[in-house]
Amino acid sequence: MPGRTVKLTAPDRTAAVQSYVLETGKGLGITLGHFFKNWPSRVPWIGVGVVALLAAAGGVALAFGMKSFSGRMTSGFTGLLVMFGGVPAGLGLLALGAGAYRKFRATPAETYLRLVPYPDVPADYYPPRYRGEHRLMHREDGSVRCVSCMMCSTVCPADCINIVAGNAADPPSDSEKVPGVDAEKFPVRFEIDELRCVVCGLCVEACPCDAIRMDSSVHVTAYANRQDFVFDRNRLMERGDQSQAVQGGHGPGWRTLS
Amino acid sequence: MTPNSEQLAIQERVALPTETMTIMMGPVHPAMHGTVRVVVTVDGERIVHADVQVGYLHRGFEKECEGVTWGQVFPYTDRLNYVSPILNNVGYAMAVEKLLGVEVPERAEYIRVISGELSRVGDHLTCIAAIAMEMGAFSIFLYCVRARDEVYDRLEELTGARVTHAYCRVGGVKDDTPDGWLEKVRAGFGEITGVIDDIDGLLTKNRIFLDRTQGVGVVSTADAISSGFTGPVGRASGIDYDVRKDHPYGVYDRIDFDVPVMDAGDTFCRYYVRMEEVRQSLRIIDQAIDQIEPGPVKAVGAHRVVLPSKNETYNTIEGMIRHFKLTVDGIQVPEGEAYSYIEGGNGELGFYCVADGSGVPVKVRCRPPCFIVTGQLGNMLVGHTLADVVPIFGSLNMIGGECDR
Amino acid sequence: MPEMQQIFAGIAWNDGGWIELAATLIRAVIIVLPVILLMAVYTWMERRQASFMQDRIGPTRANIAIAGKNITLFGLLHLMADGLKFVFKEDIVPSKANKLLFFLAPILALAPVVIVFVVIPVGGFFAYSHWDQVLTADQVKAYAMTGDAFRLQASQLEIGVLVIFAFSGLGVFGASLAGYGSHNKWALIGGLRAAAQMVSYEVTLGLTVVGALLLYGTLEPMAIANWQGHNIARWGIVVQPIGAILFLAAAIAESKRIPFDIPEGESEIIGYNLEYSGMRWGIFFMGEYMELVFVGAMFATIFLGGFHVPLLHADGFRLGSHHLAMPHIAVVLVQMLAFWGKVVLLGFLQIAIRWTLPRMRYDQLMRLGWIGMLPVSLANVMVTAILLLVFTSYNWNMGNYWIASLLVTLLVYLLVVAPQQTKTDEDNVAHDEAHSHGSH
Repeated sequence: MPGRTVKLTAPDRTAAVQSYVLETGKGLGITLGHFFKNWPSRVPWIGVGVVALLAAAGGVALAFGMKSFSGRMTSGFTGLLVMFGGVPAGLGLLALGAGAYRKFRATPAETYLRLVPYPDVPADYYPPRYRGEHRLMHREDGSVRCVSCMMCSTVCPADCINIVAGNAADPPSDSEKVPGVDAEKFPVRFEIDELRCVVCGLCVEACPCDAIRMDSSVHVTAYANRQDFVFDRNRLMERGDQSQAVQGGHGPGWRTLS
Repeated sequence: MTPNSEQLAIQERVALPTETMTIMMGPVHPAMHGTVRVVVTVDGERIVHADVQVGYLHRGFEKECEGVTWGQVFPYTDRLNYVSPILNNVGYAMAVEKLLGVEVPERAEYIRVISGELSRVGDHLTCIAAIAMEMGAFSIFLYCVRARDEVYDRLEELTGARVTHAYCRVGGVKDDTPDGWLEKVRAGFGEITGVIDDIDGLLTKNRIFLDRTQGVGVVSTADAISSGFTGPVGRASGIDYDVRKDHPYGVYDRIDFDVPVMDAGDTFCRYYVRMEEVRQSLRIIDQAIDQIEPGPVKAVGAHRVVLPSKNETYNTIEGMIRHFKLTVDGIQVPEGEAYSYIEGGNGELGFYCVADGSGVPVKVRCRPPCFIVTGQLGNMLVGHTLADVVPIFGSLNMIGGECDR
Repeated sequence: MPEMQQIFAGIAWNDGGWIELAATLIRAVIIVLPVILLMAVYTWMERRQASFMQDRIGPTRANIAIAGKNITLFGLLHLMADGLKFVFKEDIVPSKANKLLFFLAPILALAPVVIVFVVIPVGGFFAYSHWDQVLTADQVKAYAMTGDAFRLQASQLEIGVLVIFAFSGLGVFGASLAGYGSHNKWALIGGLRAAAQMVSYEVTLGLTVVGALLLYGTLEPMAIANWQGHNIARWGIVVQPIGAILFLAAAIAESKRIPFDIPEGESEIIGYNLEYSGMRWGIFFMGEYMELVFVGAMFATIFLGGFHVPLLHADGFRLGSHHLAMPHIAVVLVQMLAFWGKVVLLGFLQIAIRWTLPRMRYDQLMRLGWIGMLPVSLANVMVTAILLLVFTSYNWNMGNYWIASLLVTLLVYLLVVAPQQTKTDEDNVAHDEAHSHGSH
């Protein structure tokens, strides 16, 4: 292919480079460009402008009042008006202009600001593939889809999934009772230690029955207690949903699958 | 390494009797990357001896790999060079594919190139950011972070995670690209080139930056070759070597791009080469997006290598059995050894795999480019001042996870 | 000097010492209170301005919840949060530290910076008994003579600028003693760097203003401001552009900010204040931000006409034959606002510079100071002196000096700066080496 190697050379040390000042000015232009592009977007300039104009009106009224109050006020009246009324009025008009600029020009997309104050403003965008907290999917009758095949706990590189399989013939203990379990096997215990989890997603890939998923779009939240990070089956099923996966030789085109 | 002129000058400067002082720089120094300690002996501000001690961050990647199946290694490779994880994924996958003799579909190769080059952009931006921040130019660091966020957003959409992607698989990649993703990648170029241009304006002709980087941390071409330098650091020292050009893998032989090379081998060259490589990476992505065609993303017919599709697993007994066998036993890699190497973020990233026919690797050896570069750090530092330690170190872009020995 | 004594006499001695005391206290409050306020505002401004320069949204965490809404006041509440944090944080003293020096250092870092403000005029004379009348400059002067006017400057000293340099030179003790007393190698390096840097740049700082002082013919800041006056062509930045740029650079070096922040340089050595915590550390940074105010005030006084506003005479704005009369109080207030406005603008500039440039290296900084800025400022002084001699001997109007200043700039650039620029850093190093070898 063409364009094999390019020899780059360092910029020349011209007088403009060597004198510091010009390049500093250029740099200030860039950073202050960012400053002014980002600035108006966070301050309610229209409100500031209205307040300043109100202050200007008050200042004019004050100047009139002073004139009538003080008989000595003869020649400096215009100046007083300028000071009490003109200065805030000018600032107010400037702020109104900035507000209008903000309103009509600088939408957040036009600034360089890409941040949200995260915990106060929740992150609004998680891509569909985002791997968040685990969840266990349900069957139509609300029971857990998992059949305790142990694939996820086998493949997990961090060894954070702990499953205790139960048989449908075994009477589940009272606390572990799941309504309408008709599978031969089901998880009596299903625990994921989210502190150990490395969020690689291999468990989702390894699940043969669409039971475990990570598409909950929820960060693992911070808790004060280590125990709170161990999610048990019920907690995992809370986030769960009814799976639409078709299984057992009824899926689309299963006969032609190779 | 033979002493350079500055080192000799220091040896000669004995007219004023001075006493040296030994300082521990790191592992808790605010500017030390990846918990490395440099024990510097300084004469005033001049460094007369520097002892670089890596190893405070030791995770044992190679040992970890010996306890898991071939497929489970991918999450570990993410954490080698955690600034460009896709490249590590690709490097490891290629080594295993070489052992297996699996043909990777074309679309998967293109996706690997696109996501890998995105990773490389992120890697170089991080390094440029670090160089600037270590000289106090904090704005540039944050500009770079903003551009890198664009990269991370795209990779998150593709892989599901911002940093630890675990995206490649033996014989392809995990998923196809989401709808409209390729156009989104191209739309994000403006953000990255804008930041690169801003940094160019702020640093490249700024005399303070030039004075601090030119002639600092020089590695001559001969030294670089004898030390095994590769990647941007090697190219800054005049080594015209880029794995993508010299040993094309994937689809790099169909793509037109330049390899920037500089001669001086100082910190400035390392910065400048990286700046140009970011632009070249964007060029590569642009062409790859033009060339990519629809198709499968996992090796076709390699039943013993790639997991069956979910539909197959759910509905056919053959698929279910393959799924279980591959998950429990791992990919059965035939007995043999293979070394495969790609152009990582910091240079030639090699994986040397030994298989004994089972599903678990006997040995996965990683050739981390930045470990080799860090080996010469001590020699680079001698003769410079204490203030130069961090910019030189930053320009090598040592990543703790990759340097892990 | 006799006029000065008259002014002093007019204000105080007649009515006994307590009036002088009260006046001084009021002056101190008028001048130092805004300085302290401004220092607090600067810490906010640094955060807020830096955040917008760096595409961030700035401080958001400190807030007060009122009716379910978090009020952050654009991050201003962080000032209070910071203050609270500093006061209640554990004050750690290293066990092997030199306790006396360790305790003394923050005080020595802060106090001199506050003291220098005594000679800086934030306004002219305020004839309080005629506040609502339109007064001419001569009338104000007359009231000042009779003691019927209040001076908006804490202390009027003939040697004002020298006092400023003397006290700001003391600031070096704070940094170097902190480094020495902390019993920490990094802090020691920081302290040594601070000592070397501040002493070196003190020289340049002094010499850069000498050109301007030659023109003004006085060291008294109020007189300096009055010499420049409302005519923008007489402002220091117009008649002494090289001096102004060099002064700003040297002053930033004195206040230890990027690109000259090598005593702190948090990414190389952590700085002379490494071992400090809590309010002690806070005091160092109060001193630092006060220096920001101080640099702005000095620059405004010497190079930006002090409290003067273009076209604003003592009796209002005048442009040609147009006259907008303003009462005395309005003029005084506008002038005070203008002064603080200039200071804030310079603070903005300094913060912008800080977040734009990388940091210099220690040896480059020294080289710039001694063989870069020092010869240029010396040349500036010489050319200024020659031109001044020409102007005075031919009785030319000093209002036209700005034309000559262009000539000064050109001459200094051609004679001193341009030849230096052809030399690269390596040449300078080689020169140093040869020199040091030759001397031994």
